[in-house]
Amino acid sequence: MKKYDLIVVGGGPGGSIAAKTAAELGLKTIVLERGTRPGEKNVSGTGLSPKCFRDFDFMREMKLPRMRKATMATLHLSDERDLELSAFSFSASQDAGYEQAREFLTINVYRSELDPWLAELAVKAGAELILSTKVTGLERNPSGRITGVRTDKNDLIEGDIVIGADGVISTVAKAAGIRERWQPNEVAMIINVDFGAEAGNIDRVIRGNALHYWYSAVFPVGYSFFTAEGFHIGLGCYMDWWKKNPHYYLNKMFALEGVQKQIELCGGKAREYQNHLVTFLTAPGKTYADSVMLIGDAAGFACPFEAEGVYYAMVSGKLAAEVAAKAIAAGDVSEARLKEYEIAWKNSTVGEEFIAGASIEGFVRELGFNPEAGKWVVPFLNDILFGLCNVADSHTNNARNFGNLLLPYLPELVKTLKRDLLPLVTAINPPPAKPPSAMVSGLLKKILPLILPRIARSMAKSDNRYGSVLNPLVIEHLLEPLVAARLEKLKGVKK
Amino acid sequence: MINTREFIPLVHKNIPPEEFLKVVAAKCNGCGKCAIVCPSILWKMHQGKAQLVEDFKQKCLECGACWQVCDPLAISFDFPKGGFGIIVKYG
Repeated sequence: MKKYDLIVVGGGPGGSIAAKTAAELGLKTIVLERGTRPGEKNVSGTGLSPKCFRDFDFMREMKLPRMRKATMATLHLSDERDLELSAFSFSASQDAGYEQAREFLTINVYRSELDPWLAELAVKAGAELILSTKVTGLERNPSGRITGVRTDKNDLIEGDIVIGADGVISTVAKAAGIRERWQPNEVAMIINVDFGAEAGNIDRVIRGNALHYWYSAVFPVGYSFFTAEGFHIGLGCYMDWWKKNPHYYLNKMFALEGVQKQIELCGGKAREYQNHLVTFLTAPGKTYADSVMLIGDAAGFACPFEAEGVYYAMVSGKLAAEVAAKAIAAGDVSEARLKEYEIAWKNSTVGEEFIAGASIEGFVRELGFNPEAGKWVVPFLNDILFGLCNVADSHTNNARNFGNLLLPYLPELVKTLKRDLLPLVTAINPPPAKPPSAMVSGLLKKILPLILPRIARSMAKSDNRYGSVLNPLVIEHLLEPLVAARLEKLKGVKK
Repeated sequence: MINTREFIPLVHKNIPPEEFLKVVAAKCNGCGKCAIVCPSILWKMHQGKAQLVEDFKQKCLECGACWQVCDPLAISFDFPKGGFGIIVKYG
């Protein structure tokens, strides 16, 4: 029986990067994958974020036959009648912080192409890859120490450390006593139909606008994402949300003319029905035990906003392998030693994603996944554009009525600000070192006594009901100097 | 008009020989959550108990949703043995 330093359970992106890193660090590494090839068990939203290419040099060599660069995304809004009211598009900002982020929003790929390519990199680095093999449990010696894994081939594979890269329903997490299963409010179900289509059609109809989100007042937010010669259409929600079968909602989505048009114009032929569970956590729980570390979905590392998973799996896989190498070199693979892994991911881009995890997850739960919220969010966003641009009345009247048009949404807007946005702002900003009174800047202290009486006088005289907000004095003496001071400060930070 | 239920049979599979999905009737409390969430509509309620449809092995996507929502843990789910079960060609 061969003995390994590291056993990686699961040959997805996380497992492969863990194995690649470990092999490069000189660990004798084996990957056990239950599919007949890597990626065979995986469903994804197809989009790889620019972060994958920023943080992993080898990703820049990625050339997969059916990948498509998404340079634009579109948010479609449909109302209670299941009718599309409006659509907003955006592209990568030219002010984004690095090259790939300026170039694309995502690169859309099929996992049946991505996962084998990444596994190949692990094998090239020296890791062993065993396919069609399911891990059934962990093997322990009489004193309870984990010595390896059991497989369904009645094999015992011995190793010092086991990395659980085995997805949302993780055998390793369960066998290590970390978790029996997720709570229904921690995990979402995404159902998905893949359509095949000719590349030429998608190029013509979609081009780079390859990420479509369908936000609705009748179904939880859905998507249509395009690769080079196919696309996914689907939707999902928390396990504890479903009141009716997912097909009730999916049918509402497929009833939208915009969705049907995409299928029709691209000449899409349905070729596969898919489903996947993904975690939406406010904060990941325990990710290590004696001789065990969990990475990727097994650790609950999907981001709490879009459930992006591949990037976080890759980062955590790399970190776990690095900790494994050090622990093995030190001859200590105990839980106490492997806590180093938790510290590592908390200090990485994985941990950063969860700093405001609770508020981001709350925002997604209350607004994104919640058709009830769509009942006001959809007409609200639509009315902003309608109020500005419609020609149903004189523009003088439109301008006059703009405030009244949006006023009915104020209670919901205030509720959302208080419930979802303020906690987010609090969470992303470190607590102030100075008391709030000291936060009134020197500039403000100087200006306020001068300006306030003048504003009050002008407001008293004004017959303009927006006078308080749009008062020229406020803009000239308060807003402009504040913005200028802030920009000056930002410039200083950049230097 | 598309009926999305027509997509359900569109799965690629190496049908597993073993019973990877089971329900213990004595433990089932009849809540019906499994039938609500199953994306392939493989659960039927019969006399207050959850039952699998006959061809579930052909259609099951192995997502574990039914097991995930089963409060009394009447449903047991384990992935089919290596090399068997769902084959996702276009994930």
